[in-house]
Parts: sequence; structure tokens; C-alpha cells
Amino acid sequence: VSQLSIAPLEALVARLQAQWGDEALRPLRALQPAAIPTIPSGYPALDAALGGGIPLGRLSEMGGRVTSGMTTLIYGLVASAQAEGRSALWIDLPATFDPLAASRCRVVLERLYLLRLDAPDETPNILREVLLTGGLKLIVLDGGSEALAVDELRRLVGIIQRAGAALVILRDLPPGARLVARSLTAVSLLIERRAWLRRGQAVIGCRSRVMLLRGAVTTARNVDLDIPFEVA
Amino acid sequence: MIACLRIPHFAARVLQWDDPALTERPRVLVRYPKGRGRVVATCPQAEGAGVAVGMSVSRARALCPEAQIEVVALSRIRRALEAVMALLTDYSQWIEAERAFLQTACVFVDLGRLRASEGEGLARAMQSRLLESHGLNASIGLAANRFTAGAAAAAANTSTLRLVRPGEEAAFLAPLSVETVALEPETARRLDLFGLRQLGQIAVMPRAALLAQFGKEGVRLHRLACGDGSCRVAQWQPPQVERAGQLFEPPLDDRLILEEVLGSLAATLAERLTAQAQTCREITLRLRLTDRSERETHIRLPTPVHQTPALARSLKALLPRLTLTAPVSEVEVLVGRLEAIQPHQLSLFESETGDDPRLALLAVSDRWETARFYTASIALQTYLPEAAFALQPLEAA
Repeated sequence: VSQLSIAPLEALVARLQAQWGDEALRPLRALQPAAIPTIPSGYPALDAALGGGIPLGRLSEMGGRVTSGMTTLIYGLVASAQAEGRSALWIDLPATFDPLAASRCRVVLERLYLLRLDAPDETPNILREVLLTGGLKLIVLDGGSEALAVDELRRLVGIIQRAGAALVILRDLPPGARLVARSLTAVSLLIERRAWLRRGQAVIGCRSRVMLLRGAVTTARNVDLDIPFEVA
Repeated sequence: MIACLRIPHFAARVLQWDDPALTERPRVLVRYPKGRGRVVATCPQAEGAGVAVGMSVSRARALCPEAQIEVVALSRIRRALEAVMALLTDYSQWIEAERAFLQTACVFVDLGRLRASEGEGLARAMQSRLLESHGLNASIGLAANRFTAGAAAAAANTSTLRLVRPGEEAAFLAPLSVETVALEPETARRLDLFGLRQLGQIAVMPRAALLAQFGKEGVRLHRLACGDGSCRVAQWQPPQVERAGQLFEPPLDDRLILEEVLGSLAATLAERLTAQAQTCREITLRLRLTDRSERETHIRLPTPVHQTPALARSLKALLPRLTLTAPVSEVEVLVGRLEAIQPHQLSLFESETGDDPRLALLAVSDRWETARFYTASIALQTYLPEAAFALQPLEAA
């Protein structure tokens, strides 16, 4: 397109903007994608691959087997959220939350709320209300695979966005199982333990591979992390 | 005394009572969890042919080709169990049914402090009323504790009563298999390796030895084997529901008219709920079709409702969920989980909870009784791992 044919268009845009404001009509190149705020995971390599961390206002999903390091990784996320002054809620459907392990990862227990449900089938309704209260910015749903069907999640996506909270679903995946809500999530991570970290005879953490199934901003699809059970 | 009423082939008998014309054909009831059909209940004829609970549908069909195989209507059977329990409330308010009830229903009734002869009389009265009103033959076990009563009912023949007098529990239980007690598979395997297969062998062992070998489960097993089952029977309250329905003669095959009828039923129910100052959180829509089948669906509401528009809206949303293959002969609407109307006024000013998540979560907790919020704290000076932390319920202060 020649400069000659663009000039009248630019003049028209300038005239419309002068009359109706800058937002009335603007070229697409002037639009900048809005940066989505994130919560850092506490692991720089993972944050770099995710473009800052776990996004707020979006649904994220993590899957892994027992002892994969997934829960310890999430404790780090909760601690990061608290360090930035954000409140967090842990929905503990299997009733396995371990305050001692959380506190070793610098989670401030006084500012972490724990929710246990007598009727797990009410999880979607209660989660919806909790999101609508608006005060919480990080919600971790442990044991979400049984409580939330994909249809329920689809209904929650809009509410999560309006609430501006990060909802992270932890799924205990048996061998061969897959993450089920990948089409709805902004971040999907699969975690596998590769080795234990030892100091002498004591196990002090685990070396895990985090596979970024969705949400990576770099070409790296796998990130290897050393996840200590206790943060100094 | 505690009475245990044991009704074998419960689901099949309930369906036969409803539809006596089908008693001649053996009946096999199945469910399809995760897409794979499994037998969940049988009638005596099918059981005689070798069909057992847990078997695949194809195997059941091969063993009993003449059987009528049908998907079990769980809600129908549950309603029948509730009807049985409602009947037993004439004798006691302490009634509890075992969780699995399709093949064999076990209902425990705590008759209080009665002499054995008095308890026997009451148990026989229950047995005959059950037969008269529901056509159900129950065997009854009567004992001083729940476990022994359950074992006595299992040992009794159909329509008979087995009384275990106080003090005779251990002698009665001694020849029974340890499998009478629900045990962890690993414990059962290890008991078998030790050669401990009867409750009598367990009862004579020192409790400390069982504690050392099997932990708390060993102690529980020893206590039960000695006839010392102290587990109580819970109190039962019939579910509180309001219902409204309409029969159609001739049967209805016009969906628009059905929607109109649902609207009028919603108005009827709303009027009753308002008169009682109650709201409901669950709505069930049940349709009976001319081909004798039944369709049912229900919804749990996130917020309680008691007014006509909300009820009618929910019912109209439920209707498309049902597949209608024949004209409708009857419609019934049930509203459940009733609770008192909580007056509330929309705030004209700022929200009371503001940005404080604690207050917001307390508000959620007030609305949802099943949601319990906690904060955790760590006890610094303790030697017991289980006492190293504590969960405190969230409070406003």
C-alpha cells in the first residue's frame, strides 16, 4: 500500500479521534496486549517459562503422582502470594493438608484459610460464592478431580476472571491418567519426581521435572526444579 | 436391646411388590459405573442360577438367559428403604440403615432398655408389619449390641428371629468367621496367615497381643469378638419434603401443557412454603410414563428459593433433562432440604465484609452449613506428632 493511499485514512482517523476521543477508532498496531498479573511460583526457572508465574484471573491445573513434589511446589506459590500481601484459601477435600510442611515452606499459617467440606458435591457452588466474595487472590483446590467436572469448571471460568483470583487445581494423577481440563486452563503443569535430594541419610527435597502442557511463553517445555521440603 | 432387620434381595423384592406381574421372570438389576455394567442386585431365582453381585452383565446374561436385566432406579429403592424406616419409627427414633442396601438391606433399631422377652415381642411386631405393608420378609437378630444383632440376623433364616441373650454374645459369636467383621484387606490376610479364622480364636487372645500385631484394628476386632460392640445406632429423621403432583387422564403428550402444569405446581408449592416460612434447596421432578417407566431428575440450588417464579424457572430447566419415550401419566414435584427463610436486605451502602477475606468466608460458612473454614497453627512444645498442629474454626474475632 503506498503512502499516498494511507495519508487520507490517517487524516480521517485523526479527525474522528479529535471529535470522539482517542478510543473511538485506532489502528490495530496501537493496541498493546494487556499484561496479566501473575503470582510468582518461587522458582525462577519456572516463572521464566510461564512469563512471570501463575496468572491471576485464570484457571491453572497441576497434576502429579503422590511424592512428585507438586504440593511442596504449591506451598511455595502460596508463600509468594502471601509475601505480596495476597490472601490465600486452601480447599482441602482429601483432608490431607499438612500445616507443618506448609510452614517449612514459609507459608504464613495465620493468613492461609483452610476449607473442608462435608459434602464434596457442593464444591462448585461454594467455590463460586468464595470467588464472588472477591477478597481472596489465590485459591488452591486439592483433590479437584472428583469434585469438579469439566462442565462445572467451564461455568467457573468467567467468575474466576471477574474475581481476579488464581484458581489452581491439584490433581493426584495415577499412572497413565491425563489432565482433563486443558482446554479451559491458562496453565497446565504435569510434575514428575526424578530423584530425591539428600543430605547425608536425610531426604531434604526432590528433583522434579515440570512439564508445561499449556501456558509456556518460552520454547522450553520441560523445567527441572530442585524442590526443597524446607526453605531456609 | 438392638434389633437388626435384614431384608435379602431388597431391591428385587421392592420392584416385584410394585409390579407383581413380573414376578415370574428372574430379575437382575445392574448399574453402569464408568461405562461397564455390573450386577448390583438379584432376585432369589437369578441367584439360584449363579448370578452374583459384582458380576458383569454379559456373564449374568449367560448364566441366566431368561432373566429380565434392567438398570436399577436407585432413587426408587432408596424411597422404599425410607418408607421401611418411617414404618419403624413407631417403635423407636433410633434407626439406622447400612450404607449398602440394594442386595441386602440391614436396618438397626435401638429398642432401648427392654427385657429379652419384651424385645422379642416388639421385633416380631415389626417383622409382621413389614410383611403386611411392603411384602418384605425380614430376618431379625436381637441382641444387646449392634454387631451381635447384625451377626444374629445374618445367621437367622428368612422370616425368623434369632435372639442372643445378654451374656451369651461371646458364645454366639465364637464359631463365626472373622470375615463377619469388616477388616482392612491386609489385616484379613495376616489373620489368615496366623491361622486366626474364627471370632472365638480372637476372643481368647490377650488384647495387648492383638494391639501389638494389628494396632487399633486388632483391639476393635477383639472387642467385637468378645461381644462388646458399643457402637450406637444413630437417630433418624425422615427427610422433610413438600410434594405436589398431578395425574393425567388421558395421558399427556404435549410438552407445552406439561410446562404449564409445572408452573401451577410451582405456585402450589411456593404457597405452601411461604405459609410455613420455609425455603427449599433441592427440587426433584418425577414423571411416570404410560409404558410404566419412571423418569426423575433433581437439582440442588445454590441459594434457597420459596417463590413461584424461581421454582417454576428451575422446573422448566429440569424438564429438558428428561427423555420422554411415551405420554406422561403422572407428574410429581418434590422440594427438599427445607430450611427457615432467612430475612435479608440488600445493603444500600458498602458491603459489611469489605476486603477482609475472614468476614467474607464467615458469610459463606453461614450460608453453607457443610463448609467449614479453619486456620492452622503449630504447637511448638510437643512431643506427639499428631499434636504438632491444630486447626481452629474461623471466627469473627
